[in-house]
Amino acid sequence: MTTLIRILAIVGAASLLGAGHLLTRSTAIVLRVDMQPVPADAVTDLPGEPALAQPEPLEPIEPVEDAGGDAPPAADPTAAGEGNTERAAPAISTGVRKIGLAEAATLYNEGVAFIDARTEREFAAGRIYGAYWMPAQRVFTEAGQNDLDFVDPSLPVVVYCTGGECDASENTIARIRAAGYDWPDIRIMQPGYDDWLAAGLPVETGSPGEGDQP
Amino acid sequence: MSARHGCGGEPDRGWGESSLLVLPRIALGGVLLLAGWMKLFHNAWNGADPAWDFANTIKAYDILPAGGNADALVVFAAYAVPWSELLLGLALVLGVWSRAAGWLSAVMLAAFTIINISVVARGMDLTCSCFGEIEWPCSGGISWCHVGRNAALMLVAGLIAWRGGGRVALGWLLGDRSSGAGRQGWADEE
Repeated sequence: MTTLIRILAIVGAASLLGAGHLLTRSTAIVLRVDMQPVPADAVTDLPGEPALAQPEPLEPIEPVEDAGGDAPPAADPTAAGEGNTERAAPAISTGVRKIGLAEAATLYNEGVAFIDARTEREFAAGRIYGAYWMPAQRVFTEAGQNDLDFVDPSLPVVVYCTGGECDASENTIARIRAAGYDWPDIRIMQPGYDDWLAAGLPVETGSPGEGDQP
Repeated sequence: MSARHGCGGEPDRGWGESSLLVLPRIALGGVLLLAGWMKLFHNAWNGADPAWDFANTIKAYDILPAGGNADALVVFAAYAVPWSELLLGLALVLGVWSRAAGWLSAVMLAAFTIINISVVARGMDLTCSCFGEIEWPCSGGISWCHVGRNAALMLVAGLIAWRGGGRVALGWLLGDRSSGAGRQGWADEE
């Protein structure tokens, strides 16, 4: 009987610790509605969207001076995006649609905010220049929401991860919405960071807040 | 090895077997500690929320009722399972309540194995989240590799449940003889 009693004791202790740990959370857990990852052959281009393999040439974008805060030094969407608020941004009914590299590059040059949904290690190893680091787990943190407050909701927002079957972008978007950010035009850059890098588009490396463009 | 007999009449293999049991017991305990830690605390101080990841993984397995209030069960499991792993890992590494920890680990790993088989059989493309970001020795979505790994760990847990944790253990030092090597299951225990 000793072993049985001990097993029950371990189960009970784990349940109590788990429940106690859960109660210490400052925010409720909001689970994703759809956990199925995006298939590799998912639709990446909507009618009229430029082909992925032919990104438009970019004008080099000058680095933004570090404001001195903890927030990732994103390209300032409000400053660079002036004049674009009237631009039509067709979105599907969910408010999220997948875009290709060419459209993402165009939006980048127009100064919209890019959100990197990958892990900190991946983000530090290389990211789209000026992107915010925002894996899903960071959305409900104070630092994460400080960064999200910088995003101009009147402009499109582009979220990306590694591309292909990665579903981190959808995780982040689900959490952003759960956190109350009612952005009307969120787009997922389906090709992912590696394709952006391979296309020779602006990138930077370093830990969040320590970016330096190669 | 000694030829003494345990209180249940079975041969007590003593220090020889005990020394052989140390390695699998501590190895399994370490694996469970790592698994629990990665699910609950990895990078938590950097704003990560590994428990949320694990909760979504559990939900994606589609084995527990989910949606609406039922999500509470999924969320609770996302905390209770890793805490179970931490407690079991601690018990096995220290050698305290080894036989109970072995039984419970074996049952838990058997459940994980069945779940993984179910995921593979249903053709689902899901990540394991077994060790957070660590994917060794199996990478990518849940596959037969994950099934094999869990089954191997289950066998180790079964060994400890069967043979106990041995004498090279804190429990033995503290006078607990119910988990010593050579004892044969429930009947030997007081």
